[in-house]
Amino acid sequence: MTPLLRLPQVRAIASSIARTDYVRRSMWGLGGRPGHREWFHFCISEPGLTLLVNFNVADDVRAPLTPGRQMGRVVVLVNEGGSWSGDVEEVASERIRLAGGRIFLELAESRLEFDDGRFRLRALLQRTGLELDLVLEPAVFPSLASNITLAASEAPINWLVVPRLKASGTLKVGGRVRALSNAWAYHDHNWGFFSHRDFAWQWGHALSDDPANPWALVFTRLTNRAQSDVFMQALLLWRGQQQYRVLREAELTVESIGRCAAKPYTVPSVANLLVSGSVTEVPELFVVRARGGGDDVTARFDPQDVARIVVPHDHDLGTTVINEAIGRLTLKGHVRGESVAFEGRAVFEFLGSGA
Amino acid sequence: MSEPFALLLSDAFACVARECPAAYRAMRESLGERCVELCVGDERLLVSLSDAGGEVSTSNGEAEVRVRTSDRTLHALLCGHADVLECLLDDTLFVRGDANELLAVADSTTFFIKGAVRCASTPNLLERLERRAHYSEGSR
Repeated sequence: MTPLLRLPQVRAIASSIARTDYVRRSMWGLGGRPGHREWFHFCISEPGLTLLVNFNVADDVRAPLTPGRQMGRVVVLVNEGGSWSGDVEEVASERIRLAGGRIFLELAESRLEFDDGRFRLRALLQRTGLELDLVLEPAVFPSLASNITLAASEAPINWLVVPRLKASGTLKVGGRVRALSNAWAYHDHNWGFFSHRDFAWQWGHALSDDPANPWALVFTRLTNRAQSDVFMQALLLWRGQQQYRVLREAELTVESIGRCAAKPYTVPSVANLLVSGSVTEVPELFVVRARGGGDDVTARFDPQDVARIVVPHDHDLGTTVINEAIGRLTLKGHVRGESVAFEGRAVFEFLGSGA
Repeated sequence: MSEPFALLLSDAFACVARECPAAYRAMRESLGERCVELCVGDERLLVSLSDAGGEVSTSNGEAEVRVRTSDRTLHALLCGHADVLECLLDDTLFVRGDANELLAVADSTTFFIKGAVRCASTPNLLERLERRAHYSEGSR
């Protein structure tokens, strides 16, 4: 097993998250500019189950413009043994409560807060009755990236990642209640004034199946919409509680091979008529090789199941498709003279366009 | 007794016109002055779009495009449980018209969906369609 965290480490990680992962909030209602967006994303995984939860809050710039009005979305996707369920539900501005400077979001009956060093995540989808109530304990320090420059037409993006947490609680889906105990989890938080005009990404994270393996992986690649220009790319490795090595930019080569044959699950359901039946953006095999400073690692991601979230644009009638691909990842190589290897469950996001 | 499909369709047009006017304008421009005959279950409707909103009537009249389907198929299509091409091939969705007219109706329908995914009221409209589908299933 990975070493148990000592109390000072637990406190240090909690303090680090509280100081960096807080809700930024829009200043539109206080005279600031509109267009702010922010989301908190969680992925929880145990054998036979992957759970994706996203709390999204954005300035509602639909006509008529009302400064300060926001739009919330709660996305919950559940993959049980290869079968998907879940949905996205919109939350009206008057049912959104945020605490700027703290980690607290309430979107209708769904809520996220950080208290006593732990995330408490509760989500309820009214229409499907899907419900979850989880406590997530961070096991590693976060990594924060600020003001990442994108295309000239896009404002910078900021993010924070915590690639290893332990989640316990309950999930109610299809009338059945499933208990989770110390399931591995991942969390990220993104915010800024970026849009989908000229911005796309490939993003993934993985942990070993072996709980004794100390490594955690995060891959990020930010591109223009056509995915022909790369604004930044990096492979981040944690060893134990600490971020241990970052290989970036020209140190990385990325290769997409073939096309994933999985039949995708789409939310919201009505958006099925705006997207094709296949997921051309998700490869059959995705390979990242990172070499630099004497280090050399290769990650091979094999997507198996795909759900896609169709996101309507604010700026036109187009849509961006976020493909959430679940699969297996193998990592091999060496870092700082030490062998790195694991095989485990991974989730990658590949962006595309709908009608 | 389920609500008339004409009422549900009128509300759906009004929803898009109100909550996503850009999509409604694009629907209107794509459809132009064309009229669509839409048969859902036992109801036969004539559908056209004006700047004032969607016009759904039960009057007799000529249409450039004819569409026939069921509440169940419509609901399955909108929920992603069925594929348009498969429904056309198995005759659960019947469409007839000249190619250019069909393309215009298809474009207008796509803009309707683009509007629907942006409307907060869409889930309620889908629930109403689902109730109609259940009712028509039960009364068969």
